[in-house]
Amino acid sequence: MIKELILFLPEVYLILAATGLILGEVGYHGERVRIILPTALISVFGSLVQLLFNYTAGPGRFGHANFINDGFSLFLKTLLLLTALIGLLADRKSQEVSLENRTEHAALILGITALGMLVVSSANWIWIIFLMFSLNVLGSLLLSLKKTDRKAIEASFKGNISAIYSLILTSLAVILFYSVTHEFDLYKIHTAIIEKGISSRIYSVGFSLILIGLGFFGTYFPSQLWAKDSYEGASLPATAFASCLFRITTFGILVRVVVVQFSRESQNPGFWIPINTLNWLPVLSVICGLTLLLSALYVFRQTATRKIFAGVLVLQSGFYLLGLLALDQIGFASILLGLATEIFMIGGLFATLSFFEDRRQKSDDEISLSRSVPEGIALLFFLLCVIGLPPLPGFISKFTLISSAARHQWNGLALVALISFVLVGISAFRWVYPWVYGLRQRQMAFSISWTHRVLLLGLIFPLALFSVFAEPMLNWVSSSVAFPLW
Amino acid sequence: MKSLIPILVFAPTIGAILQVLNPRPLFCRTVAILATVISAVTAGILFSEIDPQNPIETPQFIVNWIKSYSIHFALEVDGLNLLPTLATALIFPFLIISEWNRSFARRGIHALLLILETAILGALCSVDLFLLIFFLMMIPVPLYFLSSIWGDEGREKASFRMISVSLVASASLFLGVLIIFHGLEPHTFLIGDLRGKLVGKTAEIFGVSFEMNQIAFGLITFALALRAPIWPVHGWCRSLILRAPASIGVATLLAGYPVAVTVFTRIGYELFPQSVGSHLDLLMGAGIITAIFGTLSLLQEKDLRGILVSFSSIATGFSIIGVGTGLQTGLVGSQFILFSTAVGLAIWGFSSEILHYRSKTYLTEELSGVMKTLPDLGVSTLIALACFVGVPGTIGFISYSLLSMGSFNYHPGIIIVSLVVATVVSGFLIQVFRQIFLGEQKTASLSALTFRERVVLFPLVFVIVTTGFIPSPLVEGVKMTVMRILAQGSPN
Repeated sequence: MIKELILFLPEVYLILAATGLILGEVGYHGERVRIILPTALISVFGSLVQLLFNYTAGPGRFGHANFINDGFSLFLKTLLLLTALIGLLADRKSQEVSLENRTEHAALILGITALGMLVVSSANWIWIIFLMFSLNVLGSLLLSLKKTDRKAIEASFKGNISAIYSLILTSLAVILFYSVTHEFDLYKIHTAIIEKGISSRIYSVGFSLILIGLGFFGTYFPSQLWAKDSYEGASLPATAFASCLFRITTFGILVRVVVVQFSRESQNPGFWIPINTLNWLPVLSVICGLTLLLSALYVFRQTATRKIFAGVLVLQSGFYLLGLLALDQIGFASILLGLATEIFMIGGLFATLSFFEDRRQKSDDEISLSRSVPEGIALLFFLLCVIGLPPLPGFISKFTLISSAARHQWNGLALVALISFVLVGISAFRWVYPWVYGLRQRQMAFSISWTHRVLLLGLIFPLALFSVFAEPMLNWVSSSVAFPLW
Repeated sequence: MKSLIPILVFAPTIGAILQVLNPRPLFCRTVAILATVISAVTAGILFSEIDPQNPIETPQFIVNWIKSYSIHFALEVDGLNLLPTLATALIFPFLIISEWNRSFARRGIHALLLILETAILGALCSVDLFLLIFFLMMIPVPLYFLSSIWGDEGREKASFRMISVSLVASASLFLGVLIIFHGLEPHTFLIGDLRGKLVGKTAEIFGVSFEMNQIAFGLITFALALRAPIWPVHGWCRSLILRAPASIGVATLLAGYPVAVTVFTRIGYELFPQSVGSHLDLLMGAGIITAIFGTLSLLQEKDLRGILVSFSSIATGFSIIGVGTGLQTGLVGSQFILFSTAVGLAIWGFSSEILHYRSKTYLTEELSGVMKTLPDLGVSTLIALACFVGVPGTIGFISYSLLSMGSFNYHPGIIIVSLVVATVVSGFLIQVFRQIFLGEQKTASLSALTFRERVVLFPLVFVIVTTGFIPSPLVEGVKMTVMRILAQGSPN
């Protein structure tokens, strides 16, 4: 019993800290602003340390066998905590987040990280997964916390509506499968489908409901439309945090549900195939291709910074679907590697953008890299990383994802992914030109923020390590995927 | 000796990183020049280590990089990349020196040139397909920033065109390599391990089945044609170079046809000998058309940088003709063309920049009688032009002789085309030389060459003449590797 409680401690720390922050805010507002960040950071660090202990506990079930502690969930939890850490630090530096909103921001970040962690670790009871997942709605509240901005409020509203859609669709799927199998447990549903067999119509409707429902926060076709507007309207740190968190939780669930409920192990260890009732891989491949192509075309025709990056965020999901399509250990490992890279590069890109945009609000001058060259170089570094150009780690993660598809002869999809890469690359270089051009003009330099530079270095350093030590990273990721509970 | 190859490739990047750590101007410049000199000296040592009698035992550096994907950090210097590698390593120190006193953002231009050198040398030396696309995709990034920051009016469009074309080329190459990688069991990117194993393999795209020889070879060839560039996909190169300082133009050209032709020769002859064999006429045609187009555009040129571009088109055409012969002499001649034209173009580029610095113009009609005040520049340029048209006593003569011998064996008609091209080019160049250097002095008196400018020009002139008189070490270094490759699977 105590051991099981210990395994919940990372989430408990975060929830306690979030509650403390809210109570503190209710009780007294003012001086306490100073202790918001340290409190939040201590809880995140505490959770990270606790996760290390959970690693030592080994794979197993806990919480009345409703939750799973394994390599996959622990890796995703680590990513979520790192996302929260970057989110908290980026919030602190952004002037889009007003001083009054800091508490709400920190509390929401901690709260939805804790919920996300519960989601990605829950494996058995399908309704717990989807209920918790729908609480991502709190994440969309984060999108509205910007200095009185109508677009931000609209963004949040769209996020809320999406969460409701997501909950309805996934709940329908749960009801559908329960009505046929009388089970909520993922493994038991799988066994029931295999042994009893269910009609392909019910199976395909259930699968589609789950896929579309998860797509609202996974931001893939056809449920991705809200995300571009919401990400455009929200503050930059909130966008970076929410998009990474949504994707980690969505692909965590997708991998688990797709593998446990809708697939069976093939004769080769580490490979799965769709269960006989219905081959859903072609459907997934169409969704993947359309997500890639539509978001790349969206990015290609945009000129506004926020719209471009909103499109790029959606595009990332298309690449992760390539890894899912492979339906094998290497494909899943490539998703995890991509997510691990993404939290640093998206975090860094939005933090540097935020640096320039905050300062532009103060002065009416044209913005360019010459205003602060180190931050400008960092911006280019993160941008090239997101596009996936060598020698940066974004290239290796894109390669592993595209390669996952090509390995299973999805060469057409690999082609679509590469076309998307070209379109987004062209858009990014078109966008970056005015910034680079400005280097020729002598402009007054922005004031330097050393803490901001330390944050950027903290994000660049792991990315550089990923690039050089790609093999140990891939090994860690692969060993996280290869756990005995599947 | 194999551990010298990473030094050859990465010394420039280490220099660029050191520049970030200490921004003092003197330190930065010293580090930049030292990094390129280390690379050049290493290239020289590697060249001296190649045993012409033993083409198997070439300096090769292979370590596992990403084992789970069979990706190796595999670099090799052999006869197929020796001459372009030497030319690149030799020219880059002079590029750094030529940008020694740039007033605006000097540290940036040096750092980008250093990164570009690493990318070019890496692409030339890679014998692992993943590493190859890694370096090839890296090349356009520093080029984009070099041209868009330090270019002239209209650089936005030019650099944007370049990066767009490069991205398309990168995607095409990426897909081609992925198809090769997943087409074989066990998967590998090592060119040596893939040799002779792609025959009869197929790949599917959108349900349509293609032979590996067709689809992967086609995608890779298309990518390299864009990057070289050959006619009719050459427009980006011209527009970029016409809007960049000549030194950046030289760097752009070094990143273009020498890399593309070398990579094509390696991949084509080692992995797809049958495909190359069945497309020799096509290659020959592409080479001839590109050379003729370069000649025609040369006749229209009035801009010193435009002449640089047209030269490079002609050089690209001739080197492709050499590759298209499928014969030992032709292939060796192709490698020599890459070397001699790269050095000749570098001298022309530096001369153009020296003239522009003094007269503020790149237009040939605004320059006249320069020889009177700058005789040393005139002589250097004359030797570079002599090398370009293949005058005996220069390395250009050896290059064209080898190429002609190879081409004659393929088809005597090619010699006639080459002679016509050479005659027209010679006539035009004599005209240009007379216009700029001889005749009445129109421009105000130009200041004499500085010590730095002499340092940039004279060593390269020395290389042209020395290798022109003593070419045998270079010939032997290349010949044996070419023989080995042809023996493995002759396309003829």
